[in-house]
Amino acid sequence: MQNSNLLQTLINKHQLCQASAELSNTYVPCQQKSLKNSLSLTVSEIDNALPDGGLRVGAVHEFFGTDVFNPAPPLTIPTLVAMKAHDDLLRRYQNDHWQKGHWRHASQESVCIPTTVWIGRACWPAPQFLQAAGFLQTTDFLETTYLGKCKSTHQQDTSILAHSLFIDPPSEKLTLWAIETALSSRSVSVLVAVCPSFSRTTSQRLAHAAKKSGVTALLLRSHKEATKPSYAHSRWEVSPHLTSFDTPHWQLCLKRLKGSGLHDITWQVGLQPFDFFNPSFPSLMLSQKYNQTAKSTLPATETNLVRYG
Amino acid sequence: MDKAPPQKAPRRWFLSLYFPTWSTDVTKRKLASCTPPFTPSHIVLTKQRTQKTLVARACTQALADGIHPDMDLALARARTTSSLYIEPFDPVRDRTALQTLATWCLRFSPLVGIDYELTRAPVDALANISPLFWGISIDLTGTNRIHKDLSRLAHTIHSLFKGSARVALAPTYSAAWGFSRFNTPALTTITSYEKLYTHAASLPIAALRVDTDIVTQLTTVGILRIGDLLRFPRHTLSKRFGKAILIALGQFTGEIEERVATITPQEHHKIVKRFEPPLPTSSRIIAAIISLHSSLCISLHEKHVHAKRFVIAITDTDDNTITKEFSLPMVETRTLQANTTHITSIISPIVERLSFSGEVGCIELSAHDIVPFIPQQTACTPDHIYDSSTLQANHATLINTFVVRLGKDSVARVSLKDTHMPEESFSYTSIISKESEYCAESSVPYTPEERPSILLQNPEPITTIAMLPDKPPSWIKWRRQKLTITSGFGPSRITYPWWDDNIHKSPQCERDYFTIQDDTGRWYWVYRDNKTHSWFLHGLWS
Repeated sequence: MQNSNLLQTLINKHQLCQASAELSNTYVPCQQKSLKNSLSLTVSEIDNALPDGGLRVGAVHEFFGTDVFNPAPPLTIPTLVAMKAHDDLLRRYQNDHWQKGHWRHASQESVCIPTTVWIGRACWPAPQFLQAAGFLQTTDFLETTYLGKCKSTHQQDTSILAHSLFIDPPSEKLTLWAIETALSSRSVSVLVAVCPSFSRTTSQRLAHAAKKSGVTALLLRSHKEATKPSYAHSRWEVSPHLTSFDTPHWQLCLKRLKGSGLHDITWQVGLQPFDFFNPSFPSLMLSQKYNQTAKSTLPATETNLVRYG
Repeated sequence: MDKAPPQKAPRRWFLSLYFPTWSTDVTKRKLASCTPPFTPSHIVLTKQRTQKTLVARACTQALADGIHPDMDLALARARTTSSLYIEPFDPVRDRTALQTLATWCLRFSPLVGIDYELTRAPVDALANISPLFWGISIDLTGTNRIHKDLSRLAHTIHSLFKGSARVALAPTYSAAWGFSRFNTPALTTITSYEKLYTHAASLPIAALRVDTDIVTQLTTVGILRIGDLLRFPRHTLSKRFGKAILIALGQFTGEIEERVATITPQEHHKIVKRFEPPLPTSSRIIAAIISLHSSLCISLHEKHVHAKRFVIAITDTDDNTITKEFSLPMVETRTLQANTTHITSIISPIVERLSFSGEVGCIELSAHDIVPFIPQQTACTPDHIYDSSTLQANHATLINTFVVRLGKDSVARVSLKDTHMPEESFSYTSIISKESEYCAESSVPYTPEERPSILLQNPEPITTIAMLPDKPPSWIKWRRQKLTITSGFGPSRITYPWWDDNIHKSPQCERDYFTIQDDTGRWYWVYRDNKTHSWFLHGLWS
């Protein structure tokens, strides 16, 4: 609201160019956060616990599912990370745009930001879930609210869907090739892929490609591969968790983080319920944190809750 | 006569070509080009109508034997002692052939057209178009200096088609059309308005291209020829038979101007290069193709278009031609000519997979799927956080690499549609298709907990135990696994749009969706089809 008032005041004084610079200064905290070399896991407690302040950019991160029979990969958390990364990119683009004194809004021009690539049909998230990333609320903060789309015809769609590329390789060999190709490209921001089994050499090559290009890879892997060595920067295990909350919850276990000594830290996270009166970016919420060894200390009442809506 | 013919010399000239047996002629040419050539004496093309096989088209010999369109095929067989060559009538093939011939006729005049009735007809209605409308019209106005004598040109064209075409030259389009269809001699040249009025007197009313209802009405009152019609005052005709007959008459006599619905020749973007001496190694072939590609891209760029698909035709010294196509859906604006590394990485595997004998004597590279090229504003400031042109070039390289290696159908974008039906609310389209542009203008927004992160391609049937009418299931069986449900929410009803006419044809009209959690903490999105009361699992938060 303050920003709107400031802008309106400066518009009235015919000082719109200065307004952009001043507004960008008001966005310094978010700008500083987005410029750091990490992707947010959308939970500040987890981000703060990690030395990089999140998932390191330009590295490979592996997510393992624990489901034995369920063929679906652990997709929701990496999807939220990718959505948040796209949002941060837009903020960064927006800040740069305003700092340069461009009087036109970024959403009114051809937004040129790196693409999010989804490799493997099993990891293509439902488009309506991705669409929940929000209606230009980051770039269009003056014009759009979370619930209402005030998009005029000349505006560019800055949603993650408009900047996503869906790849369906016909074989495992080509999947690995596609992952490596996307990792080598400088037009990709985040890569989410269902990853087949690969050798240590391949893992090293992927890590090297990611480091060189600055692309962050979120690889979804089978739990059978969890014991095999890899050059991934971090390894996470995602398992569903029974709770009494109204939204899906998971146990997110950090199995290993290269160079930090952190291992076997588990967080209980869930989808943040949407608040119509205080809309926010789709994210996770932290329910509980405990060490892997303390898993048995879970409150028994939570697992026994049965609730019908 | 209502009006005397104008004394001035005609200013416009039209040549009309009519092919009474066009479809059978096309078939005859197709059979003659087979190896060994086959030349049947009688050709009959058939169509199906209510479990009956009828004659759709018949060749000249078959017509002479009394076989005519809409005759039962069995009766047609009985009419002639000769053996019939029978094949189904394919109007699409015949129209394409006529368009090809019309394109060839562009050498006589830049204004060449096919009958409007044939051009505008949808594919499924082509078979019902009267054979009278299978013709070509050429507007020869202003070509006198080239052709000198238009009557001689008409004779030349008539002799070119060796009697298979009826040709008429007249000062109006309608008159040329009418004379070519209904005048007795196969070649008619009308060089003045006086001659037009004289010859028109003997033509039937149908030569005016009016509806059959009007023709029937005129026939009922004894007006059979255009000459009869011209004797009546125009205002009386208008009162009795409507304005359409007056318009047709005006177009015939030249009082109302009529233009030919012209065809536009398809522009071919291709580049051919012959090599002497021939290229011996694959590396030189690749270098040659890259050079051709660069030249073709520059010529396309000058025309403000770019191609999404290229076809390489390599002819070796034994005159064997190998054709291979590759797709480049994205064009690199900044590095249009410079990025040969990227083009080499695409073309090298293609050439190495080709097998040809000897050396390569000729390479032809053609561009297809031409789309307009929209130049984009690049970054104004050099220290911009993202150099848009570099980013676009990298993006184009990535997409082209994916498309060439994985195939165009393996690289997709998503489009959203304005519907609540989950599986209909989006579609994945190949990045190379014209519909691949992202579209979400009026899509329905949802929150993350309202829609699952993974939506199954097809809802999978499940077995459930659930209390009616609207309780979530307490137990489900999905993929042979029995799951105990601990909590659930719903229902959330989704119906097909009631205003849609096809609502009754749809197998599933109304769904009640539930969000349920099993005893391990997994969340599923299931629905009950209210018509069949069967349950399906549609998605999950994995």
